[in-house]
Amino acid sequence: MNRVANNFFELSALSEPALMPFVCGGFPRPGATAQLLPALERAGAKFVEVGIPFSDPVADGPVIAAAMHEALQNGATPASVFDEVRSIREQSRLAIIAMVSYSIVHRMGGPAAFCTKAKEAGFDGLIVPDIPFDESTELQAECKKLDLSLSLLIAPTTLVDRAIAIAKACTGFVYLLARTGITGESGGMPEVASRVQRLKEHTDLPIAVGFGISTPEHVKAVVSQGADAAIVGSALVRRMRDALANRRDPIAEAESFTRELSRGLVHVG
Amino acid sequence: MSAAGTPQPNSPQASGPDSGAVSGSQSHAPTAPANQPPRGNPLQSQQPNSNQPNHNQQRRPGPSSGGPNYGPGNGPSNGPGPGPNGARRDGGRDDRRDDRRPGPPTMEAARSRRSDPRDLIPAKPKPPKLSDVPDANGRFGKFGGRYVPETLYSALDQLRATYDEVSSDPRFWDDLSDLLRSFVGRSTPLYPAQRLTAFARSRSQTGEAATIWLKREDLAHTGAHKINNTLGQALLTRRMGKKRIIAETGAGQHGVASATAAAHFGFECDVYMGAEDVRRQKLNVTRMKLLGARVIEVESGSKTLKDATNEAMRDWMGSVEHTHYIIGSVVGPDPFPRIVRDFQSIIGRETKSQCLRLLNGLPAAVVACVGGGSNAAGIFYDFVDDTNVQLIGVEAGGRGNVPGGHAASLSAGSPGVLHGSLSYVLQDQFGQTADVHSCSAGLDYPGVGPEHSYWKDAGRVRYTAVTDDQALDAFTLLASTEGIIPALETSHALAEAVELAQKLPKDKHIVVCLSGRGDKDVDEASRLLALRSNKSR
Repeated sequence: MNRVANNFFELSALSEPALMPFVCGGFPRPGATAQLLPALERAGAKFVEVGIPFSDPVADGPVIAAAMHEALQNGATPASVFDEVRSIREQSRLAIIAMVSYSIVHRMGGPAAFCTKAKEAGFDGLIVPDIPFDESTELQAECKKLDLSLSLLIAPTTLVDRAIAIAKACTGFVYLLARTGITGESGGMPEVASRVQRLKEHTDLPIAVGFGISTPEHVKAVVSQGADAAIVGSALVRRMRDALANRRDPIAEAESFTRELSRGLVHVG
Repeated sequence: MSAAGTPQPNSPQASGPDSGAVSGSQSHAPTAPANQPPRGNPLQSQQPNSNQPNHNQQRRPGPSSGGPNYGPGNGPSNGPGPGPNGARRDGGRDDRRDDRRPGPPTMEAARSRRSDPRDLIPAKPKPPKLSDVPDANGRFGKFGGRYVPETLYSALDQLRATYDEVSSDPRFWDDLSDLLRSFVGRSTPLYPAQRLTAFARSRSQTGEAATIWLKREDLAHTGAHKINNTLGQALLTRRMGKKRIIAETGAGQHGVASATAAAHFGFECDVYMGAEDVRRQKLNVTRMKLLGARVIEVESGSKTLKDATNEAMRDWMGSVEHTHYIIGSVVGPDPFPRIVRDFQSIIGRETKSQCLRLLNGLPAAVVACVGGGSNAAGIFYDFVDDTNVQLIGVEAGGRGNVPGGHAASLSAGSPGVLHGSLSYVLQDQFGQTADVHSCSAGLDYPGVGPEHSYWKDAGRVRYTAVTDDQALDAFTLLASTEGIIPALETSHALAEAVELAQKLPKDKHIVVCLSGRGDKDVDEASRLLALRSNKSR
């Protein structure tokens, strides 16, 4: 069984929601990802999103975009991030999901070639934030062939029928955006209950909610509104950057922040 | 846009005698054959002498010369032209009033019906042409498409639906035509650059050179072609009920044109501009602020057009429900490349009809600079199916063919996805966008519109590059020979045209799209020229 599906299955047996931390591959330094993934697992994470750094991530806010630019400046490439994931794959039960721009997928030979490389490196699934459902047929087929999960995005602006069609094309889990706009920390409480509920009438897949989820309270809000997972990116990346600026260990910081966020994972069911 | 079955109004007004400001002797000039066949073949059939200037007609056109239809239709306008017996239906009177015929094909048909019963005869279905793009998925061959986050998808659908709706709404095109005439000052003249031509002749090994004509988009309101698009998209914005527009800008011309449209329509307007471009295009920053726009300086990445585009897209991700993003070039996700091309194609339609009138045929070549490619797409589009006309797109060769030293996406890039569409991109082996350089802020961009990629792969347009130094030379050359200070972007096209003219005989004609005026560039060009003379000392 694919690890994404397996880990969600294990949690659902316990009626437990999940936290899905996002880290930027190759940030804050080359080799950091190979240390971060075990640290996040120690903190209780069952899933991690690894962003493949891209020069022009239009869906990302300043925190993640800056992390990606720094990673690239430090020499990170998709290949180097793949190597870091490969180095810990054997020892980890994490479901590791690549968050990758279609620009990279296309340039590395298209869906078939990219998925093969990602699978071989040890990834369990893909999120491609800048490919709309309508362009994703080939990607869906390749992911299916290689047993990689593929999570397409559903936005607040997505019309209902389209949202249902997208959910049906996903495997592993559905990625529901908590709000319009780009990634980044947010002050307001996420409001996703009605959209989660409506989707659940049409799909059995777990629903992960991201964008603007930055505190244990946010995590609690989305899981108590019915989401199966909360995705936290910018807040985690910013904590790591702050730690660096204060001469603390960013890896340890990520681990303790993930524990803190996990307090929002109230038992549901 | 060129839907099959479009009735083709016959005889473009331009094939008649010049209807420009000067009439008099003009009305006795020989006319083009009456009853010209529809677009597509007439020009080929005329080919043997199509480049022969008619000396009675080859005059400097007045400001009101030219002026065909304003909409994105393929068909020639149904303005006054030779009647069935070669007599002008309007008795040779100025064609300004009737020239403002808008229109996508359907509109064209509606207009034709009103004015000329012959146009009721349905056209035969035509074989597919190079201009019959994009397809329903927004593809120009394999290029184009819609690679955007889901958040933007519904806005793109709304835009596409609105645009499809207005394509058959005469009021929309009437509104646009009125604006283009009374607010922008269209049509823009086609001007014979005689002293520039003489310069080319003096340099030519044969002593001959083709005549260089300038399509004077610099004379359009705000000083560049960009206004053609922003007014069209502002009308779409109003129709969609949105009250705020955002734009990216490099040279600042699109920013100024957007701010102008916003002022005219009473929209709120935010313009994203790279910090490096804010420095080198200061005049336009001041203009935008005067026009009531907010200029947001972008400090990320290379601080130029690519980064400004990223920030504008990020803004749109969060504001999409009440904001329209007026993309300034033929780039971005579907339907932007098509919409911007259509709004800019007025340049080519006017040029063609002016050529038919002034040259009694088509030019040997049309030359335009290419950054994102909007002025080039605009002037090329109406000539794409006229395969006897050479089309040449000139990219920014910067400091030469070194990595990061230029912005020649078509000449040196590879297919990739940037800013929502698949097109030629300057990128590394992993799809990371490469650094680029050009002295001209408007060309300093690592991507290009997908239709240009399509034309490149189809072999229809030749793309070449001109260096910063060559562009600077052309900048000063045009100023001193013709009394026109061109934009640095445009200077790239001029440099290529002067070279090309020397390779052609003197009875040929080259049209250069003079896409913008150079006031914005005088400080930066002076700085670069001073740097250069210090170096050579």
